[in-house]
Amino acid sequence: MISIKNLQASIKDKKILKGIDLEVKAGEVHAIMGPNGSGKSTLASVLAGREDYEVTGGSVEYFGEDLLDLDPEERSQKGIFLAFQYPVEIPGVSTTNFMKTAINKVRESRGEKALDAVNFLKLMKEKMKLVDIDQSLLSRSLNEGFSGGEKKRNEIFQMAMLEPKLAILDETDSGLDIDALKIVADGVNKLKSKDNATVVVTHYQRLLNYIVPDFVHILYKGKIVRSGDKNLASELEEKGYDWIKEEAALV
Amino acid sequence: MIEEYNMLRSFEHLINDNPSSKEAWKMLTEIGLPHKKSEAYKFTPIAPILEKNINWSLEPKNTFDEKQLYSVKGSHFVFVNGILNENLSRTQPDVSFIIEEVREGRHDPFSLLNTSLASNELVITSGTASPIFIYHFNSTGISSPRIRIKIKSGESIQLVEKLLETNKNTFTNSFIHFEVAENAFACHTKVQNYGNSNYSHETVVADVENNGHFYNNTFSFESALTRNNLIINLNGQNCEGHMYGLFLLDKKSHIDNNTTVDHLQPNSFSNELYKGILDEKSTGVFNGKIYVRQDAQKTNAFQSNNNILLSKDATLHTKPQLEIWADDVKCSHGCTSGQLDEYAIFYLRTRGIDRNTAEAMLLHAFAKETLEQVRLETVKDEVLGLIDQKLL
Repeated sequence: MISIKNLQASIKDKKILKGIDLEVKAGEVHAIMGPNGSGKSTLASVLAGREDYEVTGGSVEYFGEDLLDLDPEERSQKGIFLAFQYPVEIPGVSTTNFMKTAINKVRESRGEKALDAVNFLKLMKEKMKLVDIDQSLLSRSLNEGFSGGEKKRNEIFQMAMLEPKLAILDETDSGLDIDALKIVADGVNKLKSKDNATVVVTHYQRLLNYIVPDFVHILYKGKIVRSGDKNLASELEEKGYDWIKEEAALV
Repeated sequence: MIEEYNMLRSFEHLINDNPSSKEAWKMLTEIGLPHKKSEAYKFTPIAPILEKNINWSLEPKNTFDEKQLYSVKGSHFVFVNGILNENLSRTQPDVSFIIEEVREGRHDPFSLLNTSLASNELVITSGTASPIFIYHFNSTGISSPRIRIKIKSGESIQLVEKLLETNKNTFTNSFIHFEVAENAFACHTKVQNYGNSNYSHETVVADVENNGHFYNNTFSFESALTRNNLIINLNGQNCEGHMYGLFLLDKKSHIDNNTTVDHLQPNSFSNELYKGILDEKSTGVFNGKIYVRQDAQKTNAFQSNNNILLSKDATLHTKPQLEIWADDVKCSHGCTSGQLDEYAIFYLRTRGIDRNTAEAMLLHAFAKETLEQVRLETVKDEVLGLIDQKLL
């Protein structure tokens, strides 16, 4: 699905990603872990197309197409979804209206007709149930005054609506209590299929108790320093990140 | 000789033959129109601009088109070139009005000019159940509509005013005065979307007595130059004055919103929210004055002006001005100006929404807040439509 080769990126001349290699196939769940400042969120942002980051080297192929050539909206229209670590508050735009615009822009890009009000509401109801989100939240201004948990749940709701092929969850567990975490993870698990893939970016192992990864990668100083299966995450949980740092220092 | 006297001379033959007009003209020729150094017109040097751009001897055109009236049940008053045309107007039985000879008004230059030139005054003498619409179809060099609205105790009025200029290089100098009696309510909404060679100076005055409420909503879209003078005198106790404004400008439009709210007695409340979106080479001016007189204890007065600049060639001047003589009051003001939030645009784009649509969504949401007090759906829809037309 996506093939990342030697990806390098900087922000304001500061190198953050120093050569990332990663291959994700349909049906897989990958976890990207690492200490603060290792470049996890940068990787997520670069894949979504944030223009503040400059890609200085490497390539990303997504279904055989050069992903780095596409605008953020084109990436979304082609099935990439980024769940934000800090979802943006947008006063005056309700989630419902926002989603209606988004869905119809995506449909338009695929040459499909816009959803009418009836079918849109039907879709909304179905997805609301899936991620256990309340109608009243969706008619309010997007994320404005939402609690941390509500914001993250709204991200997963948007993901359910847009049915991405590749979902990237950036620190989706940050700021969540255990109940909210379970609900969010439950939503992600329900959306999983053999045709889509999930990349979970996280500092802590606890989210991975609920979203079980097929592969775990450890990012440190802009490079993937280790890859393994879910046991690698447990190992990290036990030992912390220090041994990774020490190991990296030896290389 | 004062600097603008040449221009004033071109009006001389239009002065009314009644004592108030003659007196106003005399005062005006003494003080003159605002000149380049007038503080109140610092960012809007209106007199030289008018002198250069207005064709004072324009032949009037018949510009009335019934389709331009709102299709809402209510009283529709049609002014043509500043004069009420009763044949074109359609009124409901619940409205009472008279036409009077113009009388003394305010003593600022453009009010004096209006008093000098307005042939007479439409006086609406009571509140109404159905809304009132006032249209100005102007095609002459200068039009001077003069209107007074008297809302009696316990009555209310919803009034929408709209100016339709179809000839180029016209100037409208309007004056409307609301007298809001005890326990009365008035809401005045203006939609300003003129041509890029049309000029206007529009004065709105409200005198509000005990427990009276006055609302003004001003939506400005296109104009060569428009100056809005809004003056609310909260003369009584427990009065309220509300001012909402939106200026969404492009091309070389220039809008100057000059508002004054004067708290004279205890326990009154004023609230002001103006928002500006400036694109291309447009200019927006906001000057909000709040006076709290010595007797006006327990006044609450709030003001905010937020602006988004979309172009580096757009210009904004914003100036809050608070003068407080009472010591037990709550007043706040704030103004912001900036660009659209790039991170918010990115967020919308990651959901498949292209940049143009994302920007329009954010601006639409920003602008919409100023429409909260517009209660007539037709007018609200019209303004929302104009916002979309400008943004998309």
